[in-house]
Amino acid sequence: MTVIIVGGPPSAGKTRVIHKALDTNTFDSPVGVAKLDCVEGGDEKQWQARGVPVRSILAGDLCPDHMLMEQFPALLAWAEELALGTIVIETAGLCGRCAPYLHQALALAVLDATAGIAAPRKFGPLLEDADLVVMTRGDLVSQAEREAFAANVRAINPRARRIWLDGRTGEGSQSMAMALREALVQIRCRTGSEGSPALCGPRTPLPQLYCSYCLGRDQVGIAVL
Amino acid sequence: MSDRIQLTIAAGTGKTGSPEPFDRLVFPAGRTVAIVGPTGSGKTRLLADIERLSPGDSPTRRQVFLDNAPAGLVDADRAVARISQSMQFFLDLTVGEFLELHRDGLGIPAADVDFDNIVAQANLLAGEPFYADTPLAALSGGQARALMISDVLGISKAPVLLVDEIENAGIDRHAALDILGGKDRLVFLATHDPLLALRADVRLVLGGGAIRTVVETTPGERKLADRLASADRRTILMRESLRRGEILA
Ligand SMILES: Nc1nc2c(ncn2[C@@H]2O[C@H](COP(=O)(O)OP(=O)(O)OP(=O)(O)O)[C@@H](O)[C@H]2O)c(=O)[nH]1
Ligand SMILES: [Mg+2]
Repeated sequence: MTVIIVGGPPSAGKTRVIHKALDTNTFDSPVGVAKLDCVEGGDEKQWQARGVPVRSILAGDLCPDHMLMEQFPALLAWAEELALGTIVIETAGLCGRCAPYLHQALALAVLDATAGIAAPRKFGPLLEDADLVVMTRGDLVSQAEREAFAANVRAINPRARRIWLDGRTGEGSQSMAMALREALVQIRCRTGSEGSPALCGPRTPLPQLYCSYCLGRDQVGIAVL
Repeated sequence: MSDRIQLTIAAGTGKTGSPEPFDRLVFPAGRTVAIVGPTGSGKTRLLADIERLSPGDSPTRRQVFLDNAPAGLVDADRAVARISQSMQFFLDLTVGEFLELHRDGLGIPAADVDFDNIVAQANLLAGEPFYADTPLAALSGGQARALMISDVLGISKAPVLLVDEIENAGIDRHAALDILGGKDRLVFLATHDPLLALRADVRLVLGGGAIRTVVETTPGERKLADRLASADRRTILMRESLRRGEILA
């Protein structure tokens, strides 16, 4: 099973990136899409319309990264049942404390260039721990701005390939498809043909403990339990 | 001696999907190419295809190849520079900080770039002078465009330059064209201005998203361009007189 985890802030273009990857036949096996959301997103219809099996997970009271870790085995079981070879997991993309990536899944970060040239310095592990970075909305900023944005992305994560993709027109989708295929080969080498993503952990340690606010405390400013 | 650069456009399709009426167009270094056509005819889209050296994944499906450019420039996506004036996301930077950021972002050694010279050259193109410590946010549209031109020539040193409607930029467009051109560079210029179109060596006529016709500037047109240019210079002088508060007639 090949697993791709697509992380990125809300509305960065994650869904468009997945559509463009499908348009260019990037994956060599039947694909399913899973979407994690904090609030009801209503993305399923898009995937159903394309005939792509889809599964939605609502985080509810939990942090969506946490929810993904909990639900991952169930997602794998779902994919196996449908005989899928590839699952693309689109995350909710949130606070910047953690990142949703797993060691043996391809980690793809989607970043929006209109967030400003300094934004790459603020994404934390979402960018630091990614294998591949797709930068969107380059059409809305100037070339100098694109260059500065990409330079800041490289400064934070020099290891990841950087690709510009226009999520609306698909410009850049050929380069993205190439980079994705190469990155998938590397992930498969790392995982081994028998490797099961089910056995792997998160790249970025999630918080070690529940705090009393996680557990429902509703008063601010209390330093000691 | 290395061969000079050459850019090739392999035909794509217009908005209705009909193919462009050529197989490929080849542009050697040293040429200035005008891109003309009404609004919506696909000028900006063509510039975007050239800018990315599109492999064919844009809506036009055109493919663009660049030969004989230094591999380092191509690999770093630095062979084609687009001159624009949008800098709305650079927020709080000064002119000097922007140039520094751009230089470092492209990984160019500090010794290869002369900021004073870049600012001085920009000031030759725009009206009121600005300095290295001027905030970007304080630049007018014309000053910003002048800075981008000078920045591209002084920092990225790309052999292929793309310029979109320079006539609306509020800068001296004759001076701009003079410094942008050159025997080792290839300039593409989307324009509505007949004078600029006739100053080019060749013009691409666009319609419906496609390149419809390719016209070499005729010797007669070159003479016409000279006449238009001198009329234009008179207009510019009048504008300056008006700005000084003079009465013209
Ligand atoms: N101009 C422009 N718009 C884009 C680009 N990429 C995406 N968009 C638009 O941005 C909007 C959001 O894109 P999505 O792909 O839905 O974003 P997302 O990250 O999946 O959003 P959530 O899943 O809701 O967090 C859509 O309307 C896209 O058409 C781009 O490169 N340029
Ligand atoms: Mg989405």
